[in-house]
Amino acid sequence: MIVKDIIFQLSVRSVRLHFLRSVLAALGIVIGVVAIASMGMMGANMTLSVTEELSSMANILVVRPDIGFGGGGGDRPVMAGMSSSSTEEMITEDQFRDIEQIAGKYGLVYAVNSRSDRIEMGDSKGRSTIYGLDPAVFPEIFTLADGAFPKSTSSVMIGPDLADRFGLTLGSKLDIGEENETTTVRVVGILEERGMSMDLNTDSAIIGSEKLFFGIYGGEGEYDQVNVVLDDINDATAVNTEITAQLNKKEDQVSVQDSSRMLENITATLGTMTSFVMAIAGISLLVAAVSIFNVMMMSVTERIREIGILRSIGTQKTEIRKMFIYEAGILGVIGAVIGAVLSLAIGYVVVLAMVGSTDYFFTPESLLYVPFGMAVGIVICIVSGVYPAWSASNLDPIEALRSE
Amino acid sequence: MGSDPIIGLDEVSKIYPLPSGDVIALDKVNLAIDEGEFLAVMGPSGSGKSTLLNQIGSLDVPSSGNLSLGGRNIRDMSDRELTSLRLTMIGFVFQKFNLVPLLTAYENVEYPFILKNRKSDEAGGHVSRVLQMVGIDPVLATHRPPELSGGQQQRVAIARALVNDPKIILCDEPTGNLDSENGRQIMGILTRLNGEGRTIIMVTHDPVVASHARRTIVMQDGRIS
Repeated sequence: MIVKDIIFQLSVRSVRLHFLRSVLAALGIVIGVVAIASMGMMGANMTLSVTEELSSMANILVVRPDIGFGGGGGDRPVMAGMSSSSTEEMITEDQFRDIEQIAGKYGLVYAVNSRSDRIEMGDSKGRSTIYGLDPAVFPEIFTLADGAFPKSTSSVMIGPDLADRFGLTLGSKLDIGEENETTTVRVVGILEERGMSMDLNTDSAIIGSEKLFFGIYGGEGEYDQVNVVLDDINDATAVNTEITAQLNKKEDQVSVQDSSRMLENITATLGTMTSFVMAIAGISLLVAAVSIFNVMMMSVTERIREIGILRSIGTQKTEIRKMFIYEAGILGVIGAVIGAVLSLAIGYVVVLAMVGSTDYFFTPESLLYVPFGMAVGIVICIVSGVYPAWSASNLDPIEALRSE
Repeated sequence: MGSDPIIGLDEVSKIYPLPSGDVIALDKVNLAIDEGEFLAVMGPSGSGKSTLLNQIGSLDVPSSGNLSLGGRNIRDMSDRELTSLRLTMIGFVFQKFNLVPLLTAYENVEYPFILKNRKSDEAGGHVSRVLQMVGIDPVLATHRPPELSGGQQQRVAIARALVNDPKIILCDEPTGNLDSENGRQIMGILTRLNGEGRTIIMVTHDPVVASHARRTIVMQDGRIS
């Protein structure tokens, strides 16, 4: 049995008969769909890009001695590079071994000592952070821009900003420490820029071996912090819990900073911003809805007599309603399809301009906003057609037939 | 009369309440129309002819009294039932043809058939036959109403009224917008349909047109005089 939906055909023909008016009404939907989809794609691309950028350092747990701020034992907002000054506020060798035992199976564990100190190169003087780490972990956590990793206690790597600031190159010598108590070291490696991070801030720092550090400042067997670089970011909570449970059994001795939470906060903030921008873009769809409503009311007014004819020859109220809902739906589908095509092009340009990269443009998370925009456009059109359809179906057939 | 009338009006009144006072369009009208009758309704403008036709056509329901169509009182019917009744039992022919301008002549006739039968695969042959019966050839049938003459449009309107094989055909001034030749031809078709057993009720001002009917009633001030 072939069912011919003649009601749908009437709607199609009405749209075709008033083609220009229909196109203009659909144009509002096109703009709305493009705005929503483009903004959504921009937000998704921004989130994906930031996530990718931060995830390389979001898999890091930083364990520091608990210094009992407020007695709550919460995370301590201490930036790397700020040295502790009391042995009571240091991670002991035993604690480090405990952390290594717990977290070693989840990734790389290494201890860090750091101190801010005076440095001197010829006539230039200044201050810098000096890091002391196990040289075995250098290749795993640092990337060199030039030179090699230090192998002796008199050689160091430096961050790129420090190199620029003091004009240091490979082979340059510099003195660390107060006057008359200086230790001279030689630059053998310059690191690539690493940016601000919770675990290490090396761009303006000097990085040497533990032996060098202990040689200058003493304190062997005690550490300012222990960093855990997780193989899987999803293990962060479990490792955090295990370390805290083991080391803070009797009293709070350490605090653990989980950088994956920072990533969660950033992505949540970006998500909120995206929703906000999309909501603003959605205003254009509201304007389009008013336009569709207006066009549909005009269509009802122009077709009062036709509605009377259709009712008089046996068309049910529901079928009249369907006819106008179809018409609104057709406008919505036309607008949404054109909007979807345009939003791919415009969205691409917006993402390129705002995010600076289109690496994630064709990912499902990004493209999802195209059907989302289309669905919102079509639903808004149909909703705009509900009242005109209802008023059309409730016309008195006799009055409608008398209409000119 | 041996059997029940197909249309029965018992003290039917139609009152339109207006701010300036009630307008009585039909005043306790009693009328019985048998199946197969050809009834002409005459009378001056405002006498209630069209109101009577709208009541019989179930486009409206009486304010009081009973109106039965095929044995069912339309005052007891819902809007959905009245609409179904118009689709299956009644065919309308209007003075101004009232074809749907968005549809071709063929589709205008096909429309009620599909609405009733919910399928289009049987429509083709049937619709073509009905159109041919009223003198519309397949080429003309592809035209839209504004492309047809008045006479052709009225033929299409008659075909549309006939397509669901209704028992009752209601005509409101069917020749009012036609020249005498086309008017004569349309009346020929209606007379033939009545000869085939259909009940025809026709409102007209024209005594010559009314002369085709077997019975004529004249209305005055909402009553049959």
